[in-house]
Amino acid sequence: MIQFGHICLVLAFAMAGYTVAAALLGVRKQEAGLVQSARNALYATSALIALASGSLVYLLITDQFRVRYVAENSRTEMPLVYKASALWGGMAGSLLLWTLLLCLFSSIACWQNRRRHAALMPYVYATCMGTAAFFIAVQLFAADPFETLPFTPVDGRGLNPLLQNPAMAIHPPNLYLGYVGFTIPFAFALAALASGRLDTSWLHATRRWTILSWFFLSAGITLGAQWAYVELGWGGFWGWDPVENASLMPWLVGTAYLHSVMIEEKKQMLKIWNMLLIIATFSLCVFGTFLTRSGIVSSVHAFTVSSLGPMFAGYLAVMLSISLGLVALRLPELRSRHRLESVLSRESSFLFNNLVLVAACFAVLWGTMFPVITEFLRGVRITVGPPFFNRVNVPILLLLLLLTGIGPLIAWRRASWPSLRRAFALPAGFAALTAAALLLVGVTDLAALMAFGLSAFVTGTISQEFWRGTRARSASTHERWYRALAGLTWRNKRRYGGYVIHMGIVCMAIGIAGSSVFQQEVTATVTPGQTFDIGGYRMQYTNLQSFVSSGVEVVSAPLIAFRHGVAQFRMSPQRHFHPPPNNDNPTTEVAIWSNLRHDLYVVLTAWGAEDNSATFKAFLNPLVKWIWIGGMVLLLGTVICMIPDPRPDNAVVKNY
Amino acid sequence: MRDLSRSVDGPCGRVSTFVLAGLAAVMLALPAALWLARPDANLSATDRLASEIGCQCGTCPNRPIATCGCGFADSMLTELQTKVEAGMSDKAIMASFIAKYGPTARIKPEGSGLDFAAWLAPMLLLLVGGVAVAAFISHWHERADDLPAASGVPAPTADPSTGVTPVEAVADEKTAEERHYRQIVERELDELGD
Repeated sequence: MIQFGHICLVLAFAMAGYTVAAALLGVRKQEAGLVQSARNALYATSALIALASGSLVYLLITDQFRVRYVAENSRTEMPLVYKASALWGGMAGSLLLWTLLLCLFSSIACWQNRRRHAALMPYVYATCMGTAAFFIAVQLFAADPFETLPFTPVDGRGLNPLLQNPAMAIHPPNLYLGYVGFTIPFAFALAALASGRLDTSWLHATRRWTILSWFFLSAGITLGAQWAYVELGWGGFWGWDPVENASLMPWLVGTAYLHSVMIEEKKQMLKIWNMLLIIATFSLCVFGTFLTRSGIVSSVHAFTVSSLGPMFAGYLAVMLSISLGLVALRLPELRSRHRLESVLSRESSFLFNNLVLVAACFAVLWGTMFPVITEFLRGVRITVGPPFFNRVNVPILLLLLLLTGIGPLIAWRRASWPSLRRAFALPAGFAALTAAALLLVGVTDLAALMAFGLSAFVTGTISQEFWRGTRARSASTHERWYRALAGLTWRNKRRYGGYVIHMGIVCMAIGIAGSSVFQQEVTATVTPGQTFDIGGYRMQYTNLQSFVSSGVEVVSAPLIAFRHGVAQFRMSPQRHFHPPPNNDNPTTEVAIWSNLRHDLYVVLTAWGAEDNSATFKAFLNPLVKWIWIGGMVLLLGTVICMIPDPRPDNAVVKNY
Repeated sequence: MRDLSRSVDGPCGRVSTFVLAGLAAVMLALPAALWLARPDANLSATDRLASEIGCQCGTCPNRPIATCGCGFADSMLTELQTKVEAGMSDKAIMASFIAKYGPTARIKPEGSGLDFAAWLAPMLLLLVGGVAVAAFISHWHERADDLPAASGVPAPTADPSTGVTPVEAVADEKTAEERHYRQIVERELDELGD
């Protein structure tokens, strides 16, 4: 099976290379046979990569520890689901999963569009398989998942215990689906540039792929934040670590692209800008992998330690040269006669929204790379941590929240001050009331006041849009309000799905602001029977317990939470001591009690064996649940946007 | 909103306006960056420094010792408290941590020297970008005046004195408000797709 997997990889590399050559030669010589052969080779590459991935999963679940990857990422006692998820627990497996998803997405997209966009497809085949060939080459020459050890270990090292968590089992595939998904619109963009077919057909062909990729990226980021919150035990969900930043950057630019592409669809404007945005989104997806895999963030010198860094840098350089070269080549055709009928229009607000999203992405990129840049320039790393990211991004993201509220209320093409005054009166009043109420109850933090006030404003604008739309539809169709609401949403899923997404963002903003500004923290050392207070709760420590569960030694310190003198619930923060070889550090098992108002989050940090004392770090994190609810609302809105339109004439914008 | 394209007569005047606005944005970026880099005055010295010193345990890189929660961060926090209680200044405390743990102990760039570039660059992009976007909008709007009805969908003409379109004028009558909104919804749904 080891040789079989390796042979599949080698054949897939050859097949992907053939696809690129045949597709480009076919389009150059205008030979349909060659292009068809390229498409078949693409399907064959996908099949071979699926076989290679299947082989690695088989090796993992059958404990074939002669394979280095299996020995390093699995062990006999691991549950089957984690053995299978070890496919993405290490670098070589992650790259194989990347390639597998890329091949599957490419096959589906190419099959869907093989006739409808025949002129674009050879270039799409070449781009998708060029990318796949690069990732297969990385596996063959730098991170081979089928590399064998000179001996067979009795057992493997096992997956890092921190990664043995349900959220972590599905978080990386979601992120990869997002990263890989953006390859499809990128490939179509390059195809449009290479073929000179620069109308909006490539945008329509990739609209759902873009939304689908954004969906998975959003899900991946939210799941990652939840994993960090539950598993890492520091009371927060986002640490501005380079791996987190790597996923946030393409999400920000991808969001800008999703908005600005609407202007191109409607008015054939911003063609160059949209090309640059999709190139930037895809580049940031690859750059994120480069950032986390090359070691460049830990030190500029680590870059050359493995061949991985230079390979990724080389690929990025080639890919950017080709893409930007094509944009430069097609510049005269991409230049459209931009016209805005009014300064006050949704187009204008989208342009500012793009600026803010790109600025937020730049701030994250700049902060992540700043240590590398300063080390390169001055030989000393200037470290940039959460204080920088929070300070810089909070005002930028507040601005974005404001635009989220403003955008939907400004009409396309032209708006006027009287109409805006009417549209904004209620939401602005609601925002002012919210801010005033918060001031009255003693909230003085400016950022929090702005975040909650703007959240109220956006909620007001969206509710007003749904309310007025439903009322208008109900009046014209004489439907009951709920049918009118459903009909309204169904008739224009993209618009109203977008509003649902914005509501998700509002929920997340409320959760982020609440938990960041009003977090309470207490550290207490207590003996059995003693209590400590946190945020209106009295926590009584019962006794220290120690037991073994599934080979893991558990130290548990149960607590009873009282409120107003009445016992409410029990919590059991724990520390887990894993068997060798994962016994370097015990892992923290946080106890979390959650409701819509706040999370009570307790960590066992130390204990004394003699007097059974325990030291707890307890946090009261207000409104955290709204972040996860917001994530789900956002995903629901994205699903609404993705539902295919039953009316063909509505699927394509009329002026296309 | 004042129409920027009308602010100065002729294209040269408009260019000068935006060049001046660009320069103003650059000048504004400096105080904005300094404001971002400021020390947090609302916090005690211990809390302020604890949020600017990163945990050096090796497994939770760059996490402030104020929130890290690992044993090593707690020991650094105790070390910090001792220094604050000894009456050392913020600068001296930070210097002592850097001397002991290396430059990675500081996780918030300073507001001076090369560090300042960290704060300045995002503000420059945002503010100068804002002026550039305003310039583009103004320029494209000017073109639309030259060539009306660009998208092929005739736009309602606004009354130059009030800026109110006929559709909006109907909406001003309270009794027709619903009709007005329905017109907008229907027009957008049918003509523009979304």
